[in-house]
Amino acid sequence: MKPHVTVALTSVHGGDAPSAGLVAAQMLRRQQALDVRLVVLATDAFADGIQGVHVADRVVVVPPLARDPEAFVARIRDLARKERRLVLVPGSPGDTIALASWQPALRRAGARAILPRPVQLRELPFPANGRGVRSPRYLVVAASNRLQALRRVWRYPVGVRWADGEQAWAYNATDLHAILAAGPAGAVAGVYEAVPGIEISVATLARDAAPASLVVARPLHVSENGVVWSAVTMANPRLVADARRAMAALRWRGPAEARFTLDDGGRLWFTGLTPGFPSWVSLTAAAGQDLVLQYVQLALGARPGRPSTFADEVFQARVSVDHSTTIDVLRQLVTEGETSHAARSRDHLRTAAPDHAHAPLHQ
Amino acid sequence: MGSRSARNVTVAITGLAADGNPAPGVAVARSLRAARDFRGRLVGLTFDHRFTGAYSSYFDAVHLTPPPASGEGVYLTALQRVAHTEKVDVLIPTLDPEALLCAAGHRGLSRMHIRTLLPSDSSIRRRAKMMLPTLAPKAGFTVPRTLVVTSRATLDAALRQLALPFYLKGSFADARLIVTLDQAYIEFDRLSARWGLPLLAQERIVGDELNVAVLYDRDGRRVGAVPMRKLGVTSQGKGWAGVTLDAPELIALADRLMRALEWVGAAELEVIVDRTSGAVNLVEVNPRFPAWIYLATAAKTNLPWTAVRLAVGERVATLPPPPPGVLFTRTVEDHFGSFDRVTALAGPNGTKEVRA
Repeated sequence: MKPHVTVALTSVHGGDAPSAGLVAAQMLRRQQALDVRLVVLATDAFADGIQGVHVADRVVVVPPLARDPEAFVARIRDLARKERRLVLVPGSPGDTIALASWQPALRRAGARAILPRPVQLRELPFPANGRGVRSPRYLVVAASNRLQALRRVWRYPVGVRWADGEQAWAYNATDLHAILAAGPAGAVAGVYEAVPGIEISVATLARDAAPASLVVARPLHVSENGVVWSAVTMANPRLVADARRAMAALRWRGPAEARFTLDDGGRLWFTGLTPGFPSWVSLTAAAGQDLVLQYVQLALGARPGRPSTFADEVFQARVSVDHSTTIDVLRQLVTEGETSHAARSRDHLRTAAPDHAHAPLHQ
Repeated sequence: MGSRSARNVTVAITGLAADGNPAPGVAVARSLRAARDFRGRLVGLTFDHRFTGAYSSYFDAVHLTPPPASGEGVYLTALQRVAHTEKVDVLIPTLDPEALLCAAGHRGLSRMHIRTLLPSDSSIRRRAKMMLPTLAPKAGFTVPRTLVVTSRATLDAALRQLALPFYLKGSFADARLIVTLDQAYIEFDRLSARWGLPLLAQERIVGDELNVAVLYDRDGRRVGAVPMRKLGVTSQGKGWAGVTLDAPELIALADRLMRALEWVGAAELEVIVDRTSGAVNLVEVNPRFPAWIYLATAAKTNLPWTAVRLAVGERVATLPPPPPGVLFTRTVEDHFGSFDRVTALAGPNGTKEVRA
């Protein structure tokens, strides 16, 4: 019999910016190793609740963690009482940051999670100050010294990366000023010198300091709003070893996306880290390393395995599709604050994609 | 051309962009795959190998075709090559310029034994955004105040005549809400570079955004109609959630307009119902299925499958109205495969990718 676990996910939404939470939910639906009951934690019946219906066994509207953490934790406590083993998976960078700040309370409430240490959050987007990792010259710009950053930039273009993963390029001081001014209030930004080369994204998971697993990919089709719609894995042993060394030096705990530039000489330059899984995380499973499943297993206490390989040149194409439900389900979410299997017909419980959507996988 | 069964036909479908602002091709393909009686093949046609719909498993084969801007001759020559290889029976263009090319080139398509269900090219031209202010009131619609922008000088005139915010639109697609003067000039440059001139400056109407997908047979008889209210829109104003409606008055207005246009085939009407006056403002008529067409299929009104049946000459009864209250939300599917599939489609021969 497969071990049973309840997994609660945050930020499950699609539209034009599908979240890692949505993709993680789809992955947990497809995996065969665990008997998973999926609970989507939505902050609003419509904004994200209705979007979780087609992947979840249960959708529960909860108070937003960032705005009302005590009420959120209380709701998790209620859930943990009813659901025997509860693992919490953050579905966005913002949720990872917010949950990491409340780890002791969440643990006491009965939820298991693998999250960064609060001190690491203060170092974003360059944890450990990039020690031991090759990186271009960079500045970490606090909200209070954004204008000073303009005087300290060496040469343009520069990349700007916010702690929540948003990224933009500034080609002159006017651009940089506009980007910094438009950034989230109070947020810290990393400003880094551009290195010619190709952008690499590394999905990684660590329970302790060293990464338990990682998968290296090159984003291919990125839409105007920065969302990755296609990507391909890169399993060159030297590249993977370099990425693993860099992640070990950063000592990051939990899931993360690290961004690098691969220059013409084959060298990796670290350009910032975003907490939480990247939205292309399903590619990790297709390449033989299901990072979301591993997260749940590690949270349940499994020992990290030896670092294993992943398949090279596995291509991911993400396709927008519409799923249907009924207005009654939305009404139930609004009026009762939740909806579950028993309340809905089987039509609403199909997995997110037809079986043929996911084959063939490279192993 | 005589009639035959649609059951085993090969259908070519265009419009395979499938990112956050998807074209309708994948939704049309999903609808055909969902039709219980369809056992045929689906061939995707794309002018950009980066469009992710090209790698979805809904298609048996995908070919690279020239962009519609290459002109009718080049486009039809490419189609001829695909038709020869794949034995295409029916073509469903899902992008506005392709619908126009195929309507204009219907004789050439007919010689290739490709069947379509399209209006004449003059009908398609008459529903262009610039023509609506003349046409729509005759059918009972109101039209938001719309000015043609052909230069910076006419943009200045529009800025004087329309209150901010207003929409600046490309002649085929793309619309931006203009909030400031500076933004107006930036978007003018961007939209004109991308879509060419003229652009349209259109008054912004605040109200309920309703869309209706319609399908007419070769005699102009409405075979099906699915009205939908947008419940959620993206930052680009594209619907990511919507719900079916019972809206016989809207369908009656659509019928009147499409009769005037002598319409055949699929179309989408976009309207905004003014909250104060109740006026039904016609914003656009698109000569194709909308990207949300799978909602119609989920609501048991499979318009793409019905279009294929009509295209091959089957007799089709009028479809009952869909039940109100069926809701869609836009999510994603991930499709995986070898990177060879990308290089096959993008490579020098460039044309074919076959599903394993």
